[in-house]
Amino acid sequence: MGVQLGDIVPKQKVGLEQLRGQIIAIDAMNSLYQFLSIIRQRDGEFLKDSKGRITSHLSGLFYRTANLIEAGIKPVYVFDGEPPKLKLRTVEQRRAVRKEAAEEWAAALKEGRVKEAKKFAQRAGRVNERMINQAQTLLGHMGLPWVQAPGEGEAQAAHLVRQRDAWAAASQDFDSLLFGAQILVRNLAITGRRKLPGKDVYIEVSPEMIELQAFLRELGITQEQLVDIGILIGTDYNAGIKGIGPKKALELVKEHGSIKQIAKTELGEKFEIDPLEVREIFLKPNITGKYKLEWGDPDPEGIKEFLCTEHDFSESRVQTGIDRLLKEQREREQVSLEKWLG
Amino acid sequence: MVSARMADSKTWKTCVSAMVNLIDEAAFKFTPEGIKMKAMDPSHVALLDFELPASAFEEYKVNQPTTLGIGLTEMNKILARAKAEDELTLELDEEKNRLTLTFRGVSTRRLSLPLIDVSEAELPEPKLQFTATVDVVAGVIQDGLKDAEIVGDNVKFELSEDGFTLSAESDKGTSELKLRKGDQALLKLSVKQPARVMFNIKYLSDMAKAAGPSDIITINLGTDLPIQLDFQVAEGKGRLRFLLAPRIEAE
Repeated sequence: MGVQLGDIVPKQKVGLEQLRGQIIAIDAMNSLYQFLSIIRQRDGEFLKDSKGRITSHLSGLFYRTANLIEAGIKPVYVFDGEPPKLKLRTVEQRRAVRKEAAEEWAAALKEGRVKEAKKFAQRAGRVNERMINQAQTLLGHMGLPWVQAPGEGEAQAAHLVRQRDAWAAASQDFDSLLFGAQILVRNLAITGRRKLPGKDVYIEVSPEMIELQAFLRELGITQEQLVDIGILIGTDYNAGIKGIGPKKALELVKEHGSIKQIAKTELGEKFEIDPLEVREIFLKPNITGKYKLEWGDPDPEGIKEFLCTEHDFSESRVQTGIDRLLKEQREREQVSLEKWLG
Repeated sequence: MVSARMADSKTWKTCVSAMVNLIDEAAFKFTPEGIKMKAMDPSHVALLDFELPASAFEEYKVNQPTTLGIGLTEMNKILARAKAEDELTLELDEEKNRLTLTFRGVSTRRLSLPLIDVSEAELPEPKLQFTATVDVVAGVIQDGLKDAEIVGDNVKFELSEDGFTLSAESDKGTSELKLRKGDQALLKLSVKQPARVMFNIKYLSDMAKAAGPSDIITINLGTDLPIQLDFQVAEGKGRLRFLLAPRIEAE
């Protein structure tokens, strides 16, 4: 979900090869959710092991991450902690949507409406605690670091970027920009041919990059004003004002200067939640400086034990994935001597 | 004036043929003490540091420091015409701004080349704290590099208290050269901390051409640091040093 800035954001298509060598802080929850909704069997059912446990998220995490590593990217997954109190309502709403979808899915399956079943199935995807633990175990076997955020994963990912510990944040949502990440990369984990939901149409998805400073310059606003625009449209923490989209919000913020001023106009009555409280979540995020980013060697035996023995993945496919992880290890980068010349 | 005479052409031939693979032109500094040259390759991956003192020459006459810009490709072509045992004299023709090379063997032959303008910018001294050093017979390294070349583009150097390993790995296969402590070809080994580091083979093979098979190469290493290769020149009176930046994991 996140804030729907879509229309006003200048996006720049990039190839994976242009991201070579960069550390990218990836919104783990967002990725796992994407994997759960995209990676399915033909009838919309999740991938499952012989004990009936869902493995779509593991399949996505392993193969897509191997792609990134093969491309020379250094991924760091950032996991959500406790959501801000204001998010609870959004969480409730999402839960309701998924519950409804799950019921519809079951009904559609029963009645043999396969196409529809798949559509509902995609909406029913839900990341649970067990999946998160499994994802972290798998990343450990792959020799990749991950970071536990105290609050929102996107806030922590943005912090990594601001600290220059990562080059960019990766998520499908634009929230990272509101949290102040200088560079946001979208479509990173889902690059390639992708089927449009509900249609028999395939599109080619490639990563796109958004540079915060260039974006702010183009709109002629500040970081704070961007947050204000988000609040007007609606974020994960507030509903936004009905009838206000990105363009109208930009106009309003430019006209009045800040949300504080806008709250004083007749629009002020339309906020269900104190906009200044929402503002705080973005501008004074709950983050930690305690994290360590260390890349180790992948452990092929550990990966096979976990994916093949425990979860019935195909041994030969997993081996191909492992080869990709190891291949990048061999491909080191030629550096120049300048580094050592005083 | 600049005039320097050596008993044979071999030294100069070998040095220049190793230099020419890395750099196109060089500023040779002739001082009363001897000749020095330091340069980086165009990609700044390799550095070359050459020193030959006056004592390495039969006759050496330089009364004031003079820098001569020389096209190495041209000089290498000229030196290829000399026989290894020919006596060699290098002389500056100030009037015509040329360097003259005289080979004296069964006949006396003289070739000259124009001097060129080469930037004399002083290169800073590299700051390197190597953790391991070894003296190895050059022929062994040359063999190890030729093995590795079959397999791939990169070669890994590993130096520990037990010995020295040179290995390569790719889709095409693997290669490995091992020298254990006590082996004849491994002369001196001193390891403060084991070192593991990877290099491009092409550069190393070009550098290794500076040695005859029985010469000794001194190798200094540190994990993810450049490699320093020292070749003795003119029975150890001078030296040719190469630094090569490693291939390291992208940061």
